[in-house]
Amino acid sequence: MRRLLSWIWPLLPLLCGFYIPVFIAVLDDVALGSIEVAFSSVVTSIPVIFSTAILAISAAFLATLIGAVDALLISGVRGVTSGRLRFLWVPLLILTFTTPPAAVASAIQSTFGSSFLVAGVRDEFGALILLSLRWAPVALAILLGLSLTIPREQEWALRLLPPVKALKVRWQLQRNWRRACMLLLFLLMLPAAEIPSYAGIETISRRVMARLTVGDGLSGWILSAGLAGIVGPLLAWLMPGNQWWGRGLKTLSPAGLPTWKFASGWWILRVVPAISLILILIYTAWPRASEVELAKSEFLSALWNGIIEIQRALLVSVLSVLCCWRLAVAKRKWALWAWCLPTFLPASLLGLSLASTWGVHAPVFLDRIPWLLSLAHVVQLGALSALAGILAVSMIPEEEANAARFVKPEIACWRIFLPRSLPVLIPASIMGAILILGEVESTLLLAPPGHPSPALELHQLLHFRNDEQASRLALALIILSSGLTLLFSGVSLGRKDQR
Amino acid sequence: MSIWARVLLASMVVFLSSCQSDSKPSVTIYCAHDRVHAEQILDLFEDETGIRVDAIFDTEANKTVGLAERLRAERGRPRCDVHWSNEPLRSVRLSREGLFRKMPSDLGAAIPEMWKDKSGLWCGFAGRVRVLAVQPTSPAGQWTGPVSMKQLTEDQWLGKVALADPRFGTTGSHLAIIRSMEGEESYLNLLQGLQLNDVQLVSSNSASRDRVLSGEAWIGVTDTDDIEVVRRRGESIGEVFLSTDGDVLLPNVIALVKGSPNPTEGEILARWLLSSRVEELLAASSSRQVPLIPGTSVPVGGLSIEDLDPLVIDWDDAADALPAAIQEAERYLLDR
Repeated sequence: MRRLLSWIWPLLPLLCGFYIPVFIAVLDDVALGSIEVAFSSVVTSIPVIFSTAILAISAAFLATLIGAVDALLISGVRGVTSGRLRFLWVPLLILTFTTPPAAVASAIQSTFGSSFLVAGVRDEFGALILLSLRWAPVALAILLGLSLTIPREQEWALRLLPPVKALKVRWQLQRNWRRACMLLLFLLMLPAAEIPSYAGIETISRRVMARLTVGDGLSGWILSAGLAGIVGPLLAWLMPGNQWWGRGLKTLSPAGLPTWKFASGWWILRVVPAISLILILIYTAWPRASEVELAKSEFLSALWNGIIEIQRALLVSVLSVLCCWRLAVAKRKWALWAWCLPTFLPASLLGLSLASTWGVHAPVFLDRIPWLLSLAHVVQLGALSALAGILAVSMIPEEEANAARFVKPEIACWRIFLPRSLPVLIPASIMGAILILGEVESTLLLAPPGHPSPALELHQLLHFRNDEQASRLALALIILSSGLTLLFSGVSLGRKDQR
Repeated sequence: MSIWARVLLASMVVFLSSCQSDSKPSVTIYCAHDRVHAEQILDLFEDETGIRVDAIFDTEANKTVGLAERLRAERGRPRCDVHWSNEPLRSVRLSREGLFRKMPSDLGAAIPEMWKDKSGLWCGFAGRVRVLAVQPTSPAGQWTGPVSMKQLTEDQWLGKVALADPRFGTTGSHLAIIRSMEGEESYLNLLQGLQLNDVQLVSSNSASRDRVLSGEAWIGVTDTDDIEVVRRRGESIGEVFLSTDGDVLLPNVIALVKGSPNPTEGEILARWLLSSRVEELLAASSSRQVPLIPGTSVPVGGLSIEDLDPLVIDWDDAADALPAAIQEAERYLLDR
């Protein structure tokens, strides 16, 4: 029994939050809808599948390129990882990811007007830039993780080469990882709906929502199945083969790393969007003398709501990451694959499935607790959590993994592997929590009445050109997300000094 | 215990304590009207009656659709007491699906019958009019004489007209009304004309207005409230009524949800919202709604129903036309 429990618990949130409700909702929609009508409307949507894929692949390419240069310079050049203010770089570099898209849109709108969101050239171009900047930090995290864990001998050999030559070799070493990273980002961007909607372009997720407006849930499911048809095999290909353990965090010391004068220029370029974003929001949020009290109360209330929400987001994120990490430790490749799929289902369909399946049968006392929303967020983070689990396990040196075979599996898991995995699991949980803080679609469908949701509120304010209030809300969200990343970067870099 | 475990434990405690509810009577409303305006009205209700209002607001881009879907999904055990939609067609469809209950006859008694459901399942109040936002310095700013949607297909406006996503919100309703009143052929001709004229499709009515403000478009099809919001902020923007077509006035709609958890409080809130006072508040707000109750005072610069020529719409026919109108608009304007 205990063995069965330990086998099944990492899958329970996934079954309850995704597969069971989705299965029931699909059956209901098949019973209510007409398959012929649904198929005919799906056929007309095929061009949208292609245009979404083209947008996603272009943005994935650009984001990977930016993240790859970041990772290359951090791992191969002295500079950004040393100095007193080094812990500030992490939050600044990942600010475009940790800031909810609605806050970015708010800053652009308040400065240039909402039409600037489409970049003035073509709608797709605006979405491409926003998507690339948002996801570049994820590429950085993945590629940096891999760049910092090359064998010690290889690293020291690289440090003996002339700086430019060494960078070229490191760039070549990254090639396969870049390809995999780009593919992963492509998959993550396929179901993106929020940013393209700011830029006014059509994507699959928006098409699914449009199908729902006329009560045609069935074609929404068929479109999603089409998306799964692309995503599923690619994900299976991306899953690790037999080699799970053994990279190990071996070369963190900057000793012997060269300096390179052009690196500073790149870093300035990289933090300009983040610093501009903050300055614009502060400038816009700054109240006139007569509005100081109102502005203060708006800002503090947004901050408080965010603090309440981030508690839930942290719990949800930790649960999701732990489930996937447990599966990764057990090398359950297909279970991890199954965890990835919910990320690619348009959030509106997932939200409606949960509301119509579990929401109907839930006891009344649960109505004021955002448990359904939390369940949706747990599974929506699936791909990120699976990635974190795989990366965390791959950081465990092979010799330790072999030694752990001599103790009971549960002890090996929680006492040996878990502490070893925390350097990956903690940042992944924080990233997950920040993503949840900015999530809008499931929140709209599943949040209990009265539940604070700063991102949704911000989203609603955006269209009324109440830029001052929107900026205050956006700033509160940025303070919260940056606070979390600062806490982590401060703690982790501080600890490194003690070693 | 490690620092991270402590943080996690503290998170759990704070989160669970934030979920506690008080014992005050409460009512839940799903509201598709603009949050900035509706929230003030609901706060006033809360202050006056002592009944706590738990509101969920829709987003502009998904107007009416997100919450309508939520109502459908919760059909088996509704959480919502009152549905405040910002247009009637989706309410008609929801009422046909059996989601609403009959309203007491005294609710909205002062509102004329043309704005109500014949079976008493929903009632309209304070509405907005579909208009064209025009760039004052462009040729559209010199527009004189009667105007219709068909004129937007003329060559002189090639690439200069902005329209919100036709599948959502009042734009979808507007198109469905055109289809139901003018017939399929005329409607398809309009869509084809807009397609050939390279209409700019944007995410929402406010985005359509913003394209006009930025000069990217000369004409934006939008609602009166979207124009008023920016006018009050000092922006210069023109407003042209579709006088040839007749004024498409889309009222807000109140409906009581069948099987809701707080039916009594729901009725109190619905009665309060359907009062002349709330119409006055909405007319005076930057959403500049048009009161439907005869004799309701309208502030200077506001819109009175007496000054308009509202189209008499068969809401049932228009609701029937909605799915086809949306799918055809998608085919002509989005899949081009």
